[in-house]
Amino acid sequence: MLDAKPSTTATKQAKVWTREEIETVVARVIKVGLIAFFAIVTIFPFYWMFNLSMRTETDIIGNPTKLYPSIDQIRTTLHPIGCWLRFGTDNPAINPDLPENCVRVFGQSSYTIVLAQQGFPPFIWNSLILAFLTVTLTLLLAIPAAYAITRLNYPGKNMMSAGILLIYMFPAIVLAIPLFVVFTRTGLRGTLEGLVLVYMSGTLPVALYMLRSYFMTIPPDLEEAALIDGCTYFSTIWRVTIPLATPAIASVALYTFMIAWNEFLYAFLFLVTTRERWTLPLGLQQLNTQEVPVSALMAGSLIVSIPIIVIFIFFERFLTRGLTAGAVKG
Amino acid sequence: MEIIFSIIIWAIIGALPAFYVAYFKRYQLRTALFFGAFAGVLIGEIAVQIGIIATQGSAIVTIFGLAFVAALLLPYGKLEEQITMQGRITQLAYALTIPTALIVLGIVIFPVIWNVIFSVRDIRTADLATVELFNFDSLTLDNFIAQASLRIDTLPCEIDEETGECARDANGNIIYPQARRYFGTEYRGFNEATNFTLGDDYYAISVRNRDFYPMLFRTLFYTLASTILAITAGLVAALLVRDAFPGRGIFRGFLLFPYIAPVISVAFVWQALLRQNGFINELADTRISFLTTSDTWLGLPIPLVMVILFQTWRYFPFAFLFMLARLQAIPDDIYEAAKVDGAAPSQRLWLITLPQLRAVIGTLFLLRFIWTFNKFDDVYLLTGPIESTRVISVQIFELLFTNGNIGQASAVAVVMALMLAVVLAIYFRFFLVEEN
Repeated sequence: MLDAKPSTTATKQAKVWTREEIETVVARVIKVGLIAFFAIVTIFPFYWMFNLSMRTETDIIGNPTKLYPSIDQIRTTLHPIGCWLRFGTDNPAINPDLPENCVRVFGQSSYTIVLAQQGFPPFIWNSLILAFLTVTLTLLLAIPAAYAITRLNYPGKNMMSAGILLIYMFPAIVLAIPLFVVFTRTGLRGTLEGLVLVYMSGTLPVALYMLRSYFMTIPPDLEEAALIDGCTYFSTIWRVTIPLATPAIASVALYTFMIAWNEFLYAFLFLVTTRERWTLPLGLQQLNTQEVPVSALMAGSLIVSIPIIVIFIFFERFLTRGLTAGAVKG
Repeated sequence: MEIIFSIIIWAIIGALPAFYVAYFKRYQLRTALFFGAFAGVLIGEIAVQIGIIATQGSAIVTIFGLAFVAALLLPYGKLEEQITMQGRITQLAYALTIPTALIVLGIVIFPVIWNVIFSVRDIRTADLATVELFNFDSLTLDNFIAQASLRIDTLPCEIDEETGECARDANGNIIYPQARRYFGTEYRGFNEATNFTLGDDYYAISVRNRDFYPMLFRTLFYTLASTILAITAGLVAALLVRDAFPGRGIFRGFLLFPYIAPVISVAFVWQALLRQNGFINELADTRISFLTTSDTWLGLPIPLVMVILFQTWRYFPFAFLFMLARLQAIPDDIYEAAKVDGAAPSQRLWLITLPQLRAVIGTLFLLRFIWTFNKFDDVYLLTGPIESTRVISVQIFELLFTNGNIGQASAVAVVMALMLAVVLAIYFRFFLVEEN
């Protein structure tokens, strides 16, 4: 019907639209609409975090659809952060040199409510330690193991490869119960060391899987040459394989960091009773009560997200490639 | 029993450094392993018991310290003359993989076994400090019974005493007795969940835990819906990004944001957007508490719909990346040929692109299904443990953490693992699309 012959009344100059052309135009219109839709849907919640975190509780309740904070609101929200960074307190009794405009201001800014009044800095510190430990240990264990299962032939190799895949599929909550029991009994519950061990149940399979697929793409010739020239296996791994696999190792490190940084279930189960060891997500979740204003929750959410977003913006290339290579769990 | 277990652990702790010392110093591994295990038990078990070494932590340090000293002082052995190349490679492979294997064994395989054991014992958080972990005397199926037991009974109708036939109510329907009253004490602990008539027989289905089977059904529905929606959205996004347009790189980056951001942050911002006086309600001029209400849309609880939408939003980027990679690998000449043959854009999409994506969609479906099924934190953080979104992982968490009933939590966890196994079996048996 679409490419029907021009009707008899049409003049000779009338353009005949082929199906190809009509569909191309329609597709373009749909495409522009959908691109706008996807862009808004993915970015809007993150923008909304920022928007709400800059405004006061009364303003948020009074104007739920206000799309941006006023300059004044941004100024009042940011000013106490400056005071906090410079003096660490808003109490003139503690610091007599406190300038007038920094006295009792922490309650005015969602960010200082979270950082100063709710005591978030130790949580940031805990999260960082936990993430770095997890990354280091995971790489330390996964690089040699991934090398072995891709390059060496030995009995039990296939079982190990299959085992990794199986763990990949296993529900975290099923592992959580026995680990909870054993950790309570051995006193590991409530320690960051114990939690690092638990996190490795999630990160090791990811790391092994990603590294394995990368090692498979590196031709073994270089390593064989190094071996023939008299390198030991260990120095071959150190001098040849690792330098060649730097991109993959970087993306494994980034992903492991993200997994440890974002993790909630295990942190909640194992640390909730010891406040001084809370991680950022756990601290933030515990903030979700009636007394804490929404703007402070949003400020906390933004504080948790910013490192991840920064990492993503700087290393997008590594991350995107690593993701498809390793089918990173989520 | 506990002592045997502890001896095994110490033997492993001792054998591990001994293995590396023997490997680098080229000794017979078997002797070294035996010696290391023996030393480990001696130091970790006996020395700590007697009191020569204060804590288990310092015992571990001692063991590794001794191994280090041994590695420095011992002369090189002559293993190379006795062993084949393949033997040496196998040893190397073990040297490289053993730490990983031990960790995986310790934090994955071992817990799974324990999970099964806990599921057949009556064990609670409150007496965790005193309970004997290695006591297998009182194994019971009570945990499974309490959660999953189900009985289907046929009931005879109430007899009308005057006519001697089935009694009927005002509308002419036959009256049946309640199962609880009919069976008496034998029925204790059960509740009638539903009843139906099939042919001439009247059936009553009774359960102990009212929410168990609805919960399984809810979990499957939530998983399927989220998986299908996420893959569909990912497909659309991939088709959008395939051809260049200004700002494509930035747009592609944007699309990944929901996937990489911490779940806690995005759950909170969704809560803020969806609250009763939040942005969405104000925009639509409604007052629905989307995440807590017991209202339904099309028979679906609104919070469950929100959880499904949240999962779709959060995980479509994963599907998007995979399908984009596959789309970009389709050679252009197929499209050119189709165009020459007169295929319109919609036909090219339907007849070329989608068939090319079949395999990747199959893989994605499997991965997303499993991971959505396993998901806990997204659901829990978005809505909390309310009934309409209580999927199986949330149910396990609640049993463990709120009820403190480790036995029943483990039993449900076993059910969860079995369901996953069944789904995987069905998938691999019937739906697997061979890649390439």
